[in-house]
Amino acid sequence: MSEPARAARGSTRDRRREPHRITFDLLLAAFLATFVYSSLDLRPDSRLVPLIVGLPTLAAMLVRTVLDLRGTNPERGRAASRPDGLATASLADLTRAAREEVAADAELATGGQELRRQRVFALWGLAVVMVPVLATEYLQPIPGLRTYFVPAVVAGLLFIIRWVGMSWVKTVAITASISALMYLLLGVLLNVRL
Amino acid sequence: MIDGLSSAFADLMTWPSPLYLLLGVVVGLVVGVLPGLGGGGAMALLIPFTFAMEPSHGIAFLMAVGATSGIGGQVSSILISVPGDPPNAATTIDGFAMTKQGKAAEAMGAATFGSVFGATIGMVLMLAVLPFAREFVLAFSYPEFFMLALTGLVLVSRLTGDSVHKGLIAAAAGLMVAFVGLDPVNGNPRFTFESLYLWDGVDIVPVLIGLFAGAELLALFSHRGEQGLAAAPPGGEASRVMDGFRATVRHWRVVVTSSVIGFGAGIVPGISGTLAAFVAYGQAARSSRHPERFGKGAVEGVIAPETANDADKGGGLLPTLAFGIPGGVIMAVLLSGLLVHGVPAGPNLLRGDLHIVYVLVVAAFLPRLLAAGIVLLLGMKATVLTRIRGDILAPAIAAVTLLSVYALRNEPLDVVLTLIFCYVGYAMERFGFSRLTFIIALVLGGLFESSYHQTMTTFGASGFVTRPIALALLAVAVLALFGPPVARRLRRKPAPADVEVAR
Repeated sequence: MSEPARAARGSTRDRRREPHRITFDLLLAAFLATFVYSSLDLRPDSRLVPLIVGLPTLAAMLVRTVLDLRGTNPERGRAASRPDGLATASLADLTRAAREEVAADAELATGGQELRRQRVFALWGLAVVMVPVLATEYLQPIPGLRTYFVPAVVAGLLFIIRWVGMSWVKTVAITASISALMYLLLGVLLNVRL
Repeated sequence: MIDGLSSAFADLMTWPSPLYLLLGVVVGLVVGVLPGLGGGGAMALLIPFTFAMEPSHGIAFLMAVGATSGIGGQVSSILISVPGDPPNAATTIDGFAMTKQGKAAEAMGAATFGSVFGATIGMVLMLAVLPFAREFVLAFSYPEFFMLALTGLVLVSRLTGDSVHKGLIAAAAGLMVAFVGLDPVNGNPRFTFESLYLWDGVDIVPVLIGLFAGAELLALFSHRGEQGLAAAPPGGEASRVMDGFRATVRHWRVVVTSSVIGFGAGIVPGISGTLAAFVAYGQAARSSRHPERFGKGAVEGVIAPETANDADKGGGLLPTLAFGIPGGVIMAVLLSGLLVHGVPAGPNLLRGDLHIVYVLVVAAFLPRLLAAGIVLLLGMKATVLTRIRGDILAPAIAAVTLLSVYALRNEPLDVVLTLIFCYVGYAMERFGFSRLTFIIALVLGGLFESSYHQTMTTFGASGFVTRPIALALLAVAVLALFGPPVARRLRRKPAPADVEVAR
C-alpha cells in the first residue's frame, strides 16, 4: 500500500479496538452461522436460496469481524457532515455530504452521561416488557385485565419520570395523563382489552 | 385519471377520514419540528393505530404524517438551525442565515411555498409517468422481478450505511429473517426453531417499529430536548411571509429545476430526500447570477432544498407502488403499511384497481396544503415544541407503542420481538449497518426467493441473462456495486503520459 493510502487509512497506532462493535459483529456472525447450519437439515429446494445468501454473507461477516478486531480509526469517515463550498461541489461530493448528513442524524451520542441515560432507558424497556410477559405466563391474572402490561407500564412510567428528576407531583400528573391517553387510544379507539 | 383522483378525494372526505388526515398533519408537523424522531419513525409507531381504520384511510393517515414531517422540519431548520429530518439539513445553511438577518418570516414563506410547489410538481410528474410505468411493469416476468429485488438491494446497500460491505451484510441479514416461516417451495417450516410463533414468518410491524423507533427513542431520551435553544431566533414580521411567496414565484426556474431533481432522486432507492435537497442546493447556486450570496442568506438556498425534498415524495412513490421497492424510510414504512392492510404493492397493485394509488397521491398533497397553512400561521411559535423534554416524551411514546404492538394480535411475543429489534436497530445504527437496507430486504425477501425458484422452473438459469430488462437490471446492479471503486482506482492511476513527463 502506498504511503498516502496508508496515511488516509490511518496508521495502526491510530486505530482503536471497540469491544462493543466486535461483540455486535460476533453476534451477527453467530446469527448467520445458526441460519446456515440450520439450512443443512432442510430439503435441497428449501435450503438453496438461504445458502446462496447466507454462506457468502457469513464469510463477509467474518472479514468484517477481523477488520474490526484490527481496530478502527475514529477520525476516518467522520469528517464534517457538510463540506465547505457546497454550492460548487460536484455530484459525488453532494452525494457524500447527503450520506454523511443521514449518518450524522442517526449517530447516537456516546458521551458518558448520554451513554448512561441510554443504558438506563434500555434496561427500563427490558423490564417493562419482560416482567409483564413472565408475570402473565406464570402468575394468576388480575381481575379485569388480560395481561400485566398495564400495571407494568404505569409503574415503569412512574419510575422513569421520577428518575429523570421530576418532582413526585409532576411525575404522578404526567403518568396519569399518559395513562389516560393510552386508555383513549387503545381502550376507546382500538377497543382492545389489555 | 381525473375520475380516479376525484373518487379518492371523495373517499378521503368521508368521515372520519378528514379527522385522521388532520391528526396526521398535526403529528407530522410535531415530529418534524422535534429533532430526533423523524417522519419514518413516527409512521412506524403509528402503524398499529391504523388497524382500526379503513385500509385507504389508514394508509392516507400514514402518508399524511410522512408528507408533512418535512414541512415541520423546515421550521426548526430555519428558526434554530437544527434540522428536524436529514432532508432539511441543506435548508439550515441559508435559512438560519436569513433568520439571523431578521428575515425568518420570509424564509418560512419561501420554504413553505417551495414545498407546496415541489409537492405539486412531483405528484404531477408521478401521475404523468405512472401509465408508462404500468406498461413497463406488464412486461415483467419472474427473472425481472428477481433482478429488480436484487438491484434495489444493491442500490440501497451502496447508498446507505457506513460502507457497501456493511450494507450488503445488512441486506443479507434482512433476507435471512424474511426466510423464516413456511418455505415457499415445499411448504415446510424453516428456521422456526420449533416455535409455532415463527411458522407464519416474522411479522413486519414489530420489526419495523423496533428498528426505526428504538434507536430514535434512545436518542430522544439521552438528550433532554434542549438542543438548539441557545440559538434563539430573532423575531420576524409575519407579514413578510408573502415576501417568501413572491420570492418563490420570482425564482420559478429554481422551483422547476429543483422539483425535477427531487423527482428524479426520489426514484433511486437509498437516501433520496437528503440527496435531492443537497443536489438541488448545489444546482441553484451554480445557476445563480450571485452564487456568492449562498450560505449568507440567499432565498434560493431555502427554496431549492425544500422544493426538491417535497418533490422527491412523488418520485419515491413510483418505485414503491410500481415495483414494491421503497426509496427511503418513509416509503419503506408506507409499503409495510400497505402490506399489513392487505394491499399488494408492486405490479399487482398497478394491474388492478388504482384507487389506492390515487388515495396516496391525494393524501400526499392535501395534508401538505393544510400543514403549509398551519406553519405559516404558527410557524414562529412552533419552536416551543423543541422545549418538550425528550426524556419525558421518549418513555411516554415507548409505553404507548409497546401496548399498541400487543394490541395488534394480543400476542406478548410481538412485544418481545419489538424490544429485540429496538436493540438490534440501536446497534445497527451505532455500528454503521443500514437499517433501511435490512427492512427493505425483509420486505423483498419473499419476492426474491419465489421469483428465483419460478425463474429456474420456467426459464432455467439462462432466464436471468437472456431477457433484456433482466439483463439491464443486472448491469445496473453490477455497475452500482463495482462502478464506484473501479472509477476511483482509474482516477488514482496516473496516465502513462503524465508519468513520462514526471520523469
